[in-house]
Amino acid sequence: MQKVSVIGLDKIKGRLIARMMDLEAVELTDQTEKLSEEFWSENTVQDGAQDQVTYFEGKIAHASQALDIIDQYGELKSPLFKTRRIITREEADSIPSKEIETEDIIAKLISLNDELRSKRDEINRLDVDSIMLEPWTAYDVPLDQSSTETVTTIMGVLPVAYEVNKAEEAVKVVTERYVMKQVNEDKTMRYLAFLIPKDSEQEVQQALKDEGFQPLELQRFEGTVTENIQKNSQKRLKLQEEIDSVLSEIKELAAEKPHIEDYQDILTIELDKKKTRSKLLKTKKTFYMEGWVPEGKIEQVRELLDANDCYYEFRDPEEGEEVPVLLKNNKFVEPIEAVTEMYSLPAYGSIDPTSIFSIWYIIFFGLMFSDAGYGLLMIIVCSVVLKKYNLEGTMYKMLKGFLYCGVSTFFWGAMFGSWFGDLVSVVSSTFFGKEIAIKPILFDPLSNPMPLLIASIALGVAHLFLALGIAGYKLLKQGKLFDFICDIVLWYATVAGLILWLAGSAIGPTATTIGKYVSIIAIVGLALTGGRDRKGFGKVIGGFSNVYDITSWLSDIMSYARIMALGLATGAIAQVVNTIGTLAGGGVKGAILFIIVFLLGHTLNFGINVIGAFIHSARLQFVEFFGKFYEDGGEPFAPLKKNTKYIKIENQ
Amino acid sequence: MLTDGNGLALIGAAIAACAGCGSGMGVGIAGQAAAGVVASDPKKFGRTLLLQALPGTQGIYGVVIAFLIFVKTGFLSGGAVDLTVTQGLYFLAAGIPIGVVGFASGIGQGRAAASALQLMAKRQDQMGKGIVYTVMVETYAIFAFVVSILIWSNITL
Repeated sequence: MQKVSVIGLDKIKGRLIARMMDLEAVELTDQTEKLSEEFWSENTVQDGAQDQVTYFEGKIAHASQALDIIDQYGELKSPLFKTRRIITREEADSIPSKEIETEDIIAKLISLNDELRSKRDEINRLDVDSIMLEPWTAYDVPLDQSSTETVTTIMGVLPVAYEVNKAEEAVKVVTERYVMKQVNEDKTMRYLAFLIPKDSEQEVQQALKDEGFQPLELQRFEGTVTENIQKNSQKRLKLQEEIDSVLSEIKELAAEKPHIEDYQDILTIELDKKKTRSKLLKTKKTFYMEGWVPEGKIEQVRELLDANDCYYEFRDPEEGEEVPVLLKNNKFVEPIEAVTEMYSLPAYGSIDPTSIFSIWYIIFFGLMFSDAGYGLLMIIVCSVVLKKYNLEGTMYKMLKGFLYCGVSTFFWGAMFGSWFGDLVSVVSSTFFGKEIAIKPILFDPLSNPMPLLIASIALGVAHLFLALGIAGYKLLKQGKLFDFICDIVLWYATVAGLILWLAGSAIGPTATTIGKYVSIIAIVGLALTGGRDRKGFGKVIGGFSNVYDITSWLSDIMSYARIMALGLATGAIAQVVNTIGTLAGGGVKGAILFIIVFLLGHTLNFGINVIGAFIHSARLQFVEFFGKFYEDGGEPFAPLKKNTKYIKIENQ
Repeated sequence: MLTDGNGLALIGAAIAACAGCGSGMGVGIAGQAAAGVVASDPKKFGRTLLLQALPGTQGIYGVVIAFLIFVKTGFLSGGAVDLTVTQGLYFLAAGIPIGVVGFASGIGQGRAAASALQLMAKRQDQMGKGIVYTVMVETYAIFAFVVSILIWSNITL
């Protein structure tokens, strides 16, 4: 990365930013800090286009609201993988010319949605009314005619917990001239109507309330209860029809989805251009900007700046500056970057481990999944998807990575003779009465797991030694020879010596003896040098804890036993599935059961174990491998670019 | 007879399969947390599913050991071998490590997965670390599984 500072004329600013977006080569940095310095604050001000930013943000919000509406009601099928449509620059340039039409469609969609919502609210209101009126059907007086000059009706409910007699008596206390009628009764309420003189209405209301009576405002309805309910259901039907027609209108407009998407993306590009302006400083006629440019793109940026008559300067990052990180790997290793990114990017200037661990990742994955059938399946699925869809970014890396892992899975599966478990021999013996078995090329770990366990541990030791080697390389590069000997060489000697001492008998007694002495000397060395940076008693503690670290090496090494464990799990579950499938024996019935069990069982086994292999081989990198040397914490390089969701504009 | 070799071997397989209890509880704990995360952001469903599945492996290891015991004793193929009581005890011993450790480890991993889900809800970019925390727990189930395998593979009939 290099930092570029640019001064140019204000009038070319827009064009320059647009071209930088095409290049995807510059990450502009914020300049507000500079304004605290006198020189800058006297001569420049922060650039920006806040009103335009707000303008575009509003339009984008509308467009995305319209897209949401289409997604919700448009009944369009969404593809399995979302990919960006590739369009030419001419096509992209023609999008703004359709602005008025597209805005119309967006406005139409939003108003249709509002209409839909208000109609649905209306239906809700009608339903609530109908539910309220339902118990009153026996009351056949038109509701709006419930009072005359001298008489009025109070209608309402009395919870069953209260007594009707008491309510009636309360009314009686106020006035002797009344009629009470219980219209209906259900589990929770009694529905009462009181006919009373108009002049005592207030008092009666109060007296009834004290007895738990809740009056209802039913006088607002015109006509009888039954009429109202009928009217409501008719209105409801009509509204429902209207809603259906609104929905079908939205469905028709759904065909315009691509246009709205194009439009939203174009707006986003414009918005980003305007937003970027706040990172610039300006005078009356010039602007100033700074940004990071990765090594490989410096020439392109130079050309661009020259073409626009800018004054510019490139420089290396200064000590302590936060530099963004861009991983650079060859085509083969690139997909595995997704695994590195899942952990955390390396700090700027430190080692990118992707190219080193990618092959290990693929081997571990294959050993853990280890079934030729599943491997073939992965290869086919990934190849088809990669061919059919124009995937980008992490999704592309993932699938490409899985393709490699599929190859590895296939390879190890064939080595261990696992093709959908023992599918071939089970099918041949159950349905054809003759057992044909595919022989493993190496050995069958299910009947003899020890070699796989030993291989797993051995691979683990090699993997760890490689990590230790990288740590050593870093120390040597810094010129710390003594640290290299204490922290790296002594550990190599200790671990290798201990392994020889414990397992060397297979080679011969000399190996054991060599191992014994090497490891003893190395451990003494560890004890002596462990506390070299500390003083006094700390030296003893440092030495002791250094020796104690042998246990962490032990646990790191043992951790690789998971390769065997997951490998066995895949094969064993596959066999379980096949065994269950044959429980009904041969024949047509047996075949049907077998096919069902095969599909369900192997799908499940595939799903669970592919997750297991993916995660556990990542873990072996993250915890065991990275733990020895990796410095993480880099911020990803985020260049100025077209952040489009739906379209990808071809650069010519 | 009160105890014979085959019975003991089957008890061993049954104990191994009990690792599934731990997985069941673990997946349940993680599932509750996952539902909470998806409630606020349905797009995270796929990712939550990944974390929820993590505590499921203990149960698988248990079934694998049980199955291996079935295969070696000929229980499934019908041609059951007559085991001595000692051989039966060996098979029983093979079932215990994964059964017991898988049980505890499954629950622990479920809790870690639930916390990792919370982490993911707040900071999606940190999901990888959440997974690492969760997978740490599984190491012990794997060790137990390896011990079970070692015992099982060294039983001579």
